[in-house]
Amino acid sequence: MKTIAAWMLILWFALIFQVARPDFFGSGSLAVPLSVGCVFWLRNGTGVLLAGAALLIQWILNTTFAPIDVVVTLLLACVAISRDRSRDLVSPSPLTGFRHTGLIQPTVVLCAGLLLHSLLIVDFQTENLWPVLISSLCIAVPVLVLTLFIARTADQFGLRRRRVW
Amino acid sequence: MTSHTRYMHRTSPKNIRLCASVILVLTFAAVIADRTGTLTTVRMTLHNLLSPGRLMILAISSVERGSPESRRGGQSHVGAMSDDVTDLQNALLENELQRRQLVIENARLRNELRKSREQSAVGAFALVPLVNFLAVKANILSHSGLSGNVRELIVDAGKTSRLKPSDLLVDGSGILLDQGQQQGIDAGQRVVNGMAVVGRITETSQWVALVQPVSHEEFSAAIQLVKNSLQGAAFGAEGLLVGIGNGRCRVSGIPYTESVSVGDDVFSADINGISGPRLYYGKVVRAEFSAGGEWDVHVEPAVDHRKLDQVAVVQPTVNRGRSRISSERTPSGDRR
Repeated sequence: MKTIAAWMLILWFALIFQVARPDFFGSGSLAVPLSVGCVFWLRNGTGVLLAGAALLIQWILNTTFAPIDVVVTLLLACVAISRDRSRDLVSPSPLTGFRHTGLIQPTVVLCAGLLLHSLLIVDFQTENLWPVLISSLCIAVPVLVLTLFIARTADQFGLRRRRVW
Repeated sequence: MTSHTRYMHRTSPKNIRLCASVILVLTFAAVIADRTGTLTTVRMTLHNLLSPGRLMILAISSVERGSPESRRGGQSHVGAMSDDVTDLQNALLENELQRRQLVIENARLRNELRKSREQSAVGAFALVPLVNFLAVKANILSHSGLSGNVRELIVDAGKTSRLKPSDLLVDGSGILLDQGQQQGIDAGQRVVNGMAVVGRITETSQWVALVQPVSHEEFSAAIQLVKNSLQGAAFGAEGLLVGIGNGRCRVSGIPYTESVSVGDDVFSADINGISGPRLYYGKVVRAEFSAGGEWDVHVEPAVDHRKLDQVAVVQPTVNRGRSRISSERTPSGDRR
């Protein structure tokens, strides 16, 4: 319960920062990585609900053609957490044997979500896409990496409940 | 069921898929609401909920841009004044040219109207609108809320009318008007001076009402830009106007793909969610592109409420002519 309340506050303040300082925090640069981080931290339906609600509120505040980025981000994250059985950042995945699986999957989800979000923001005008995407990634990637490493630290100290198969 | 078992159920793929489905349904509902235009209310509610946090962050960051230069040499000061005079003269000339063009256009349109009326063989059925907008005039009692003297006057007068202080007093800062619920004034109604918006009613009592100016941090309204060009005026992008204090406003929600320029006029998109006469908010004084894919637009309000003594409150009302027509057309046994 405390974890859920903390994530609700974090996501709410991410939206507030984006609305208050759009000159510094581009659209989606805080809400998307923190939503992805929330899904991979909690790894349950509640995390999906919180992240989905935050992304949906962000879309309502700044509506684009359609919330395709919200749907794709959530679907990719749900597939990743449903199938992934290893939650260590450095242990190899039983499916692929690739190390650092716990870092790659959230990053891929983040990049896909931010790319779609930026495309919708610039109305599919690709010549304007890269400045918007790069400025968002400069903030989003460090935020996500920080979140994942805090999750790793929480695992080390036994502060996070783990799904034991 | 143990705690661990409950946790395993919550983190099961089935549970995750169920929650994802819920979010997908909500997303679909939001898209439908956006297409039907009902999402505006939700959007404004969310902006109002985010306002306290936004104000806190703005207060902490203390952004101060464009401070006026206070130190200048004598020569540069004179040079700047002559530049200002030249700019004013150019603006005056441009306005005069535009006025002449409007006079010519007006004459042409009158001519066309006269000809079309002469040629038309079919009489037009005049539309009777359902909603009218009335302007209730009100005097400004105070520019800073209910003062102690006025409070005592009202409470004493209320005692003779057997009214409680809670029915007569309003709390908060803002513009105090001498009209209230007795004149049909309700919270949310727009307050204007001519066609320029001064603010909106935030609190009313029986005899007085409190107005929140457009530059107040908690003010917000749906607006539309109007671009002026040599070919005439044209409607531009829609956005949300919010007050930022210091007598200024800001417009958010205008994407990068729209055209915005300094000098554009800002009009209301609707009045309390009803399409009606376009009320004027002010002019765009700054338009910059921010990194988030949106315009950062600053607006100078058209009216300074501190210089006003009288305003009008815009009230939407149902046209009595329409209700009379409806009652005349119903069968005699079914009159409402």
